[in-house]
Amino acid sequence: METGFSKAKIYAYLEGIFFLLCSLALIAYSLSEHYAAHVEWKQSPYLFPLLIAFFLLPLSLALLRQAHSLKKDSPNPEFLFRDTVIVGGMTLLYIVIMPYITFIIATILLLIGLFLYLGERRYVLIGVLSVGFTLIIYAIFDIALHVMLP
Amino acid sequence: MTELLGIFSYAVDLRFIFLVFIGSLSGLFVGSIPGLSVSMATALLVSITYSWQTSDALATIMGVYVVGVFSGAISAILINIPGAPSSVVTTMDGFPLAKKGDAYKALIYAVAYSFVGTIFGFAALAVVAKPISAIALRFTPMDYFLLATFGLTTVGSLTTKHFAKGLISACLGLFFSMIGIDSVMGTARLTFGIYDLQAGINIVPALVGLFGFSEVLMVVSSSESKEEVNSVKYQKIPFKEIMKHFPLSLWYAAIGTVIGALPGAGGPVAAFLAYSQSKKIVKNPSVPFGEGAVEGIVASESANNACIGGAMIPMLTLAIPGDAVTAIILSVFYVHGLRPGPMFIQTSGSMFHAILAGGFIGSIFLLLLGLFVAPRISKVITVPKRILLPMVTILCIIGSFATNNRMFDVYLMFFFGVLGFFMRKRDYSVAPMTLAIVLGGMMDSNFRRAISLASSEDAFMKALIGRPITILLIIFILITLLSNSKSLKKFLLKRRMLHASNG
Repeated sequence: METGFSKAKIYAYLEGIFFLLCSLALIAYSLSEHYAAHVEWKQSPYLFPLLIAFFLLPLSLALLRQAHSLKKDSPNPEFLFRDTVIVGGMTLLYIVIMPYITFIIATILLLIGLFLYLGERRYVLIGVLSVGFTLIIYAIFDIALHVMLP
Repeated sequence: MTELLGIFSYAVDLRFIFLVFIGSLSGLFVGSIPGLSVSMATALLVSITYSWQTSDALATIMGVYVVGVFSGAISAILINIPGAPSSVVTTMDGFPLAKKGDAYKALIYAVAYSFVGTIFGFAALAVVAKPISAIALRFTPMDYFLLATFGLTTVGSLTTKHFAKGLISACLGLFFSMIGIDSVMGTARLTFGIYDLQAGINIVPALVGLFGFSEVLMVVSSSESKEEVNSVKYQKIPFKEIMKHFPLSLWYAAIGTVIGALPGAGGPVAAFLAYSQSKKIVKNPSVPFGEGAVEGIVASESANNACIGGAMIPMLTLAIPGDAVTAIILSVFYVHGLRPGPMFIQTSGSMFHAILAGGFIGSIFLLLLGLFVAPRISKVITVPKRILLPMVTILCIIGSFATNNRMFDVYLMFFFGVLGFFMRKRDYSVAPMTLAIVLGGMMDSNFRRAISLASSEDAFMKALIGRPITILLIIFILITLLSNSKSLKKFLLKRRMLHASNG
């Protein structure tokens, strides 16, 4: 077996440790809450979470074992980190500010931002799609389906 | 007879037919555009159809499901990228055939045999649902718990390369399903003081996040490649030549229906199995398999579409979904206050008829849209991701907001989207988690009921797991767990090698 820590191996170990901690935390939570609730196990709301935690425990150990047997040159899944974070961040910002600046304005702004960021350069198309799509969604949800959009 | 009358009453309802058509048309585009999935569209539809009548919601969803599964073949044939996972096998012969200038022929075969597969699957559903429900009536709470556990273990084993990761995904789903007020004792559980969590994790934002927003992030995170599109030129193909493969397609459809009925297996597995069967059965294909053999397309498309009816069987009779889409459809039932299970056909017969009618009408639209629209949408399937993704993002957000008119659900959707993204990047399938979120509440209540009932008996263990059905289910679970255990496989291999060296 090869030794040394590649990026893939470190991530695999972190995953295993994370789920091991989750399992232990859930066991501790279920036990403490159960005894505080003063009910029999057969009726306890914490019986099933405890069962899940006990099931998760060997699985997290299996992950750690898998991480241990990973080769030094195991590939790590690569992804466009910056693009993902920016698109995710823009979406989160949209969700946060939508209640303050209303659905229509927030949606038009997000669509323009995303179209531009993802590489669309036909400005007329961006304008038509951003405004048109927003108004169609507004008409469908707010007017037809009576969803009270912010 | 009553079944036929029930189905017929929907088949002549113009509103119902129109809604199936709308769903079918959406399914055609969603399924054929790589990056958009049938599960994503169905999850979004749950939020849109939240306030509709159940039969209207089912009509639309059945249209999307039936035509969406077929239309994955369009991009598989034209650009070598399957629009849906179940069309992966169609690329093997569909794309080579299209490259030879026979794209139209490949499409027509895909349409015809998707239709045959769909009809076969729904006919099987109509025939076997009642007998299975009758058997399921004998199930105890422990059996239901074990059946759901069996479903989760098979999904865990079939949807990921690493069994442990599949099961961890299921555990996470069960964990999320436990959040909220406990249905038995009325205690707030795992809410950590967050008021909005007391109502539990709403299934709609969770599904939209896991299948919709995570898909957006997945596409953004991978670099876009330019697709080569095969042109579609009309060809005259004799009906007799197309129907030559009909008898064999029934065998592939039977494989698809059985595989579809196994929780978690779904279209890709069925298509692969049928394809390998066709390689064994068909000794003289039109051209060698993998080089554009129509026999390959027939096998793949008959099987993957037959899975739809198959996946409905356990969902309607046992409340155990056969795949991710049926898990979402199950949530539609819950959202509309219906309880699938052994009594479903008796208590909600009209909904059962609506599903069958939706499936049959959907398959007719599959035929019509497949023959007349599919050959003309090669431009649409290459809509740039930079145009598509922002709109899908908005639909995910509004779709999750629409369920309860509250921003908390949108944050939930965002959370599940990011979680789903990381899970998929790290090879954790989100399908077991989806199934677990849907089934978790049922598993919890049945498990506790089983324990309560057994504890009032003298022989606790016998009462809990002593019945033949229960023992059978435990054996099934153990077989699934052990057959996927790497350590056991290594041990058996070592023993075999030792035997070989001694012998």
